[in-house]
Amino acid sequence: MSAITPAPEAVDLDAVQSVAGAIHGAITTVIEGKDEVVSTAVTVLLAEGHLLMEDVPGVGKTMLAKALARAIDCQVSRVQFTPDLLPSDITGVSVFNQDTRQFEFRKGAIFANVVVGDEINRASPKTQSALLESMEERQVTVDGTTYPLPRPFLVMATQNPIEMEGTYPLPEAQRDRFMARLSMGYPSAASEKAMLLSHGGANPLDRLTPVTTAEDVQRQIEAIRHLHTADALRQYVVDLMAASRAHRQLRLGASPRAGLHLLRAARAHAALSGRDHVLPEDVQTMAVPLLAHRVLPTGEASLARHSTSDLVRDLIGRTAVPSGR
Amino acid sequence: MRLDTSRDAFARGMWPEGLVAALATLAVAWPLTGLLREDSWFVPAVLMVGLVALTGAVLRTLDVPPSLTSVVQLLVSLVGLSQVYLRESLWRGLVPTRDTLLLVGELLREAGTVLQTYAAPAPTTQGVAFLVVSLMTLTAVSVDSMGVTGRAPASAGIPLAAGFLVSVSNSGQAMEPWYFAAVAVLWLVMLAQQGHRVLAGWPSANRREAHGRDDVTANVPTYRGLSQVLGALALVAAVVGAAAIPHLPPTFLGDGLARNPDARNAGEGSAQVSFTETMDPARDLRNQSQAPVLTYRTTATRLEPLRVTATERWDDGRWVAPNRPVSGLLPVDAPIPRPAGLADGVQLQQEQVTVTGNALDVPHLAVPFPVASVQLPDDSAYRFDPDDSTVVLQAPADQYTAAYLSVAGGGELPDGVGEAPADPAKFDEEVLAVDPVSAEAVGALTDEVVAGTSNALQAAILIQNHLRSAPYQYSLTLAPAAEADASDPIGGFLETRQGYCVQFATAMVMMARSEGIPARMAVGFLPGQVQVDGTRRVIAADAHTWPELWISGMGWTRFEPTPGIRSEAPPVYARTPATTGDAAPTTTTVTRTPEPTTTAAAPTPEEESGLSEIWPTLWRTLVGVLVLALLMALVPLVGRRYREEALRAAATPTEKVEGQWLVLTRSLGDLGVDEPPARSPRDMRRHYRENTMMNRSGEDALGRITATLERSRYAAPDHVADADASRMGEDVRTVVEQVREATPWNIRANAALLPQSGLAGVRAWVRGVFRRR
Repeated sequence: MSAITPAPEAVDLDAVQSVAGAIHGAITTVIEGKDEVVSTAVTVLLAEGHLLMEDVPGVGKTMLAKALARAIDCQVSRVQFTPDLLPSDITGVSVFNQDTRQFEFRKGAIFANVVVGDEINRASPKTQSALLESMEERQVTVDGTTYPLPRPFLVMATQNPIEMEGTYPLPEAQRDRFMARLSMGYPSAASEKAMLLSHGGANPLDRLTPVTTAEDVQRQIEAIRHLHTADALRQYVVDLMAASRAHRQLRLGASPRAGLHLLRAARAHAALSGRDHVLPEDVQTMAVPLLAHRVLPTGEASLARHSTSDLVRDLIGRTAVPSGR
Repeated sequence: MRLDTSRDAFARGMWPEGLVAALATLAVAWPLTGLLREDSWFVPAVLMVGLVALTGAVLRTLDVPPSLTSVVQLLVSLVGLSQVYLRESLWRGLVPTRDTLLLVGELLREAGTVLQTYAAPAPTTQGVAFLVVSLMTLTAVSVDSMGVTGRAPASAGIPLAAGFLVSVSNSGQAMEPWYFAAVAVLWLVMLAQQGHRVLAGWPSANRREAHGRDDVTANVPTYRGLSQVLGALALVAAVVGAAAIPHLPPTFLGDGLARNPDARNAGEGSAQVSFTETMDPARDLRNQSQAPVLTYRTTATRLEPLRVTATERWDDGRWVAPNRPVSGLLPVDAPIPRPAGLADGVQLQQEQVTVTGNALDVPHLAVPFPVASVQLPDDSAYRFDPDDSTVVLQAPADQYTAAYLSVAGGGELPDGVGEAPADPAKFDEEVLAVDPVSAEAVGALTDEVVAGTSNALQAAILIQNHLRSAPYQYSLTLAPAAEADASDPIGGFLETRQGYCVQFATAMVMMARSEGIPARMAVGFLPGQVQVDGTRRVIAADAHTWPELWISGMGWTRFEPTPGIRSEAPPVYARTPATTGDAAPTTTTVTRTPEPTTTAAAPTPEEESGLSEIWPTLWRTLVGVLVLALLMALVPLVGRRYREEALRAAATPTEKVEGQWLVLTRSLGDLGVDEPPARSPRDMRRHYRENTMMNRSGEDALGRITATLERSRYAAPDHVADADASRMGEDVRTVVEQVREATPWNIRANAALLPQSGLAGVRAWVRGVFRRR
């Protein structure tokens, strides 16, 4: 085996699973019939990635983001993105204190464990980029002073599909910062009916109490980082990335950051499945939400109405799984 | 090693299946009982078939590989055969020597001679018994190998059908249905046993539930549709094919059964015969009626045909019934004179037939030839025509007794018989008249066959034996060429060499006449079938014709040139193969080597020359076969090495697991299962589950294999231990064994004898050699 494999540390899989299960259970009291989306969201949370939820208005994107935030006992802030939102509203601003005759830093909305950014594509690109910088670096620098952001730090942004009016679509480079993109999709008829009943009276979100703490989540995130990945598996991720760059129907392939994210997400997925090692299946399961928003189809592929999700699936189907021999 | 219970071992031995296969082989040979006179072959045949079945079952119980089982069965049966038939040629009663080969050759040659010379039932000489028992043993080995060891009873139908066809086709007449039914039922039982075993191996309950939509059983409806179509096609083919293929008349629905005019006499049970008028028994031979024409008892051990009349008039391509002026007949009930031309030295014995039922019309009376006396009931009377030695009946006679002369003993004749040529002046012109249309062809052939023999008897035997030899075939249907040229039936027959008794008899008559031997054509009946009460029954289909030649010292003499079962063995005096030239006839019976040591020490020149002729060819063939066998045996060995190459080189548990996986993929590749594409272990497991037939235990083993592989590939190295690898090895064997069981025998045979892995190993080796250079 390769020398760069981290020393195997006993990962407490039960703890990971119980935390994830608790969060999952809490969310499903609010969001009905979207098990897979919720699972992916929880997986991304434990992989310490940011989540982009993209769908038409009113399918529960914000509800999911809020439910996830509520389930964890931590600082939560919510920013409604509007065209007149300023970068300082997000990062914070230095204000002159008359009493102390000094500048004081007033933290913006980003200083929280979970930041719910609603309709992110309605803000101007300048404001968007202020958010995205801090997402990647997990710190904010204002007037020469760097302020670290609390851990865990998770941004959950929602956006409407770019065809909708009054939106500034996120540039490719910025979409790349989100670990995964989820699409809620319409609920099934039964779920929708159940929703009409449960959401008819009080908001179920109000009844949602935290099931875990920020520290606990952070502990699990750290633990998952030590999950074993075999050489063959890392090779597989690299092969997938290379294949995406060589794919005929893709104009832009996946970045190296995408590979990093994919491996992290696969680790989280493996841990949530109760395994102390990552399988090709983990990579394959996470590949679509992780890669679909990062790659760009060629004109032909768009004309043929191949969605990027389809193209990523095709990519998986074509790429051989290295045996490690 | 896994521990067997005795029940497992018994099931693996497939004893019941082996028993049924042996019974089926014996059933195939059942029709032979009617083709051979003595049953001396039967006990050795049963013993040999039993030996083959027992060997197979024991070897299977011991879990010997299938191909080896068949080879050992073959060897054991060879040993058995040589113990029974070739014992005195074996060195110390065990090891085959050069004499063994010689003896086999002699036995086979003798069998060939007997089968060529005798119509069924043929005497069971040592050679014939050897041939029959050998063929049956071979059939037993192939049926057991295919049907039981190879688990493909459907293909075992091929040797069974082949054996059955050999037994049945030589009888030349419709066999009783139970002969066929016995084989068919036993074969169906073999199929049913296999089907039962396959179905019992399936975890039929909730299989689909367990595997969801990917399950192979999801495809079953397609197969069911296909099998329905095939079944329907087979049914249509059976009905249409049966009606369309040429066959005896009244058998099938398509022919209207008994309403068919051709078959009417069968339906009415008529014993009417027409050939006594037309001189051509073709129509009577096709008559399927079992109604007796004659019922009789006889004192004779050697049966003679019952002669009705004879003709010497050949006119315009056909025989014409004799013109019998009343003036030429002897007075009513006058004693029948001693046959003309019979020399005193010929040993004769008088035999008698007592006819108890007679359906022949007046004036015909069927009596063996030459008749010595006839006793009719009081209300009947006969007159004798000395011209063609025919008894002419005056009034119907239901019962009668006739005495006749036959050559005694083994047919030894005094010297000088046939030496004196016939004096043409003493005979009618017609007796020596060759059909001018074919005279040239007949003359040329006769000269070639007779090759200057001046002795009429020797010439006649040569002609007879020529017509009985292999290129001539008995068939009620004439070859098209002969039909087309109606004006020259004899020339047509000599060209196509296919016909029934009339063609053979006519050809012999004409050939004899062209040699200056007076000849005529006799019509009558074969001796018929013996009934349970000891009487013999002659039916219309026993109609027969044969030539009678004038041999000095013998007078008019019967010969039998027609081969096949609807004929007789040659008369006893005409059995010894004649030599050309004037040399005295030598009898070549099998000269069994009396003492192997003396024979080896001093082989007769004849044997020596025969051996030196075949020895180089035999030697070359043997060496070639050996080299080929060695090369062929190498491929499986290379295959085994290639399959296990990674396993042999493996040191760590991970490498061992990969080695076992390679063993699995390559072994299954040999069995025709494609290697899975490079996917995750779970995907590869799905691939194998979709592409193989396994029962639950096999699938569990496969699941454990892929789980171990998964852990070995993707988990931390300390997750796999040596124990996992060895456990995986057992599972690999289980899976391969189960897949092998569900694989058709031909693919299995291929995997055993010429495995893909072997070829791949050879290719890899060749590539390695080139790369090194």
